[in-house]
Amino acid sequence: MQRDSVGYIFTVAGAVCAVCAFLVSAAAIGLKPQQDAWVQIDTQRNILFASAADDEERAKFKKMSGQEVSEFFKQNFRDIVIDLATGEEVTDQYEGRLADYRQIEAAELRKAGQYTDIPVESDLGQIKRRENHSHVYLRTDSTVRYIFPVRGKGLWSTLKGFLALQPDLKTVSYLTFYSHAETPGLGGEVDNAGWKSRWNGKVLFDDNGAVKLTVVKGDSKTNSEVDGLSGATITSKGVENMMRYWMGDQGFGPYLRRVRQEKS
Amino acid sequence: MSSQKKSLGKILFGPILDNNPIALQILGICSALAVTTKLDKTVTMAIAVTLVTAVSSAAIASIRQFIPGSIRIIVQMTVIASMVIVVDQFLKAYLYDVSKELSVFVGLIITNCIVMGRAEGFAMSNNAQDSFWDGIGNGLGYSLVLLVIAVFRELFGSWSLFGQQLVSDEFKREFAQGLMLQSPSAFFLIGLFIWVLRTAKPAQMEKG
Repeated sequence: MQRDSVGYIFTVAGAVCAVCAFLVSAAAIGLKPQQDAWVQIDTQRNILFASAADDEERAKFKKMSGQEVSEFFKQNFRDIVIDLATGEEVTDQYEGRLADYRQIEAAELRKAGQYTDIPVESDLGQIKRRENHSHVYLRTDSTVRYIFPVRGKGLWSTLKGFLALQPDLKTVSYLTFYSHAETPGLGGEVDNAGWKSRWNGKVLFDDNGAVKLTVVKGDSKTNSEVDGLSGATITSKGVENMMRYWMGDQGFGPYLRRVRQEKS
Repeated sequence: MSSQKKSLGKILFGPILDNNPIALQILGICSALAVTTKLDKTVTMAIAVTLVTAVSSAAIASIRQFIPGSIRIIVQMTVIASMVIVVDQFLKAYLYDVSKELSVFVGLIITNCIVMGRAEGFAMSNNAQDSFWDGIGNGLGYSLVLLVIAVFRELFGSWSLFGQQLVSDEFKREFAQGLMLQSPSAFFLIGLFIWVLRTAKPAQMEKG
């Protein structure tokens, strides 16, 4: 074939693509287990962060190697899965594949039978779909914490994070986000340690168990108000709505009620 | 480009000071701004770029007789892009934290003019072995500039090297140069680097 003929060009292009595609796929598939292990450690580290008793412990978690994080998690945490609608624990169904259950994927990728469409009027977090089952992480050493995965829309992006509650299941211990794409310097300050520490000690619920926590402009006057981020009203509101959704009846409400009843 | 045979030493070490891709050819500036705030990021990036340049140059050189002229740039891009994805996958598997910090910049090696420039400028007209060493050489030239800039930026910007803080917190608060962590400082530093280099090697000065 002539070097500039159309047939030759297509042949070369096809061959190059085939070889390159093979290389890329081989690398992607061959390295997947390694990469997944890191993603899992990353999630565990975020959970550790959320559960930390104070900034000192948080700094300690930050310095830990992947191995240590995994070890600490295994020793001091219990990972359970609950049915959000009933609040019942369904961990048994996930025997042997607990860590592989990715609830956000279940909802976002519309895995059959694993998610529920959220009616528009109650979709405070603007996430459209909610998984049926959710992880809850219990820290069981001297610092007891309940850690809940939460997510909701800010201004530009869906904020994903973990909310840690005190053992009374009413008081916030920490709120951390591991993924968002808000404006750096404005909404992006949801990541700011200073702002996150303002959540510590805030009371989420009123006496009837309804969510009463609000994000306000200016200084917070009660222990159920959090001072919003200046210049980031929509992101702040998004965080508030996220709390209302996930701590309300649509979210972890049934589970929280059940655990509180068991305790009293 | 080079019809007369160049020695290995010249191919390998030429691009480091005499024909530096950043300082003389002014290529690859974009990533030099983006990844030089911390040394560990910089080292990873430098190794990644060196590897990609060397391997993709060698790959392109070995199939250069078969590449039709009309689609040669596309073929080069395909080879380079595949290499970059492979490197990115390896980083995600073995250097997860660094790869998270480098985020998009690993992917953007594809658009790094050095890789493309060496493929088109050298690999298309030389054999695979020479192209490989040329890629390594240019990668080292790029790495040298990046490392010099990163040392200054991390040292004066956050008073640390490789993430190890060298001074007390009070000293850092007082003397940390925020500008060093911003992109413009990399421009100044590259400018100074080129100035020093061209003063030492007047042959590199552009005739104005």
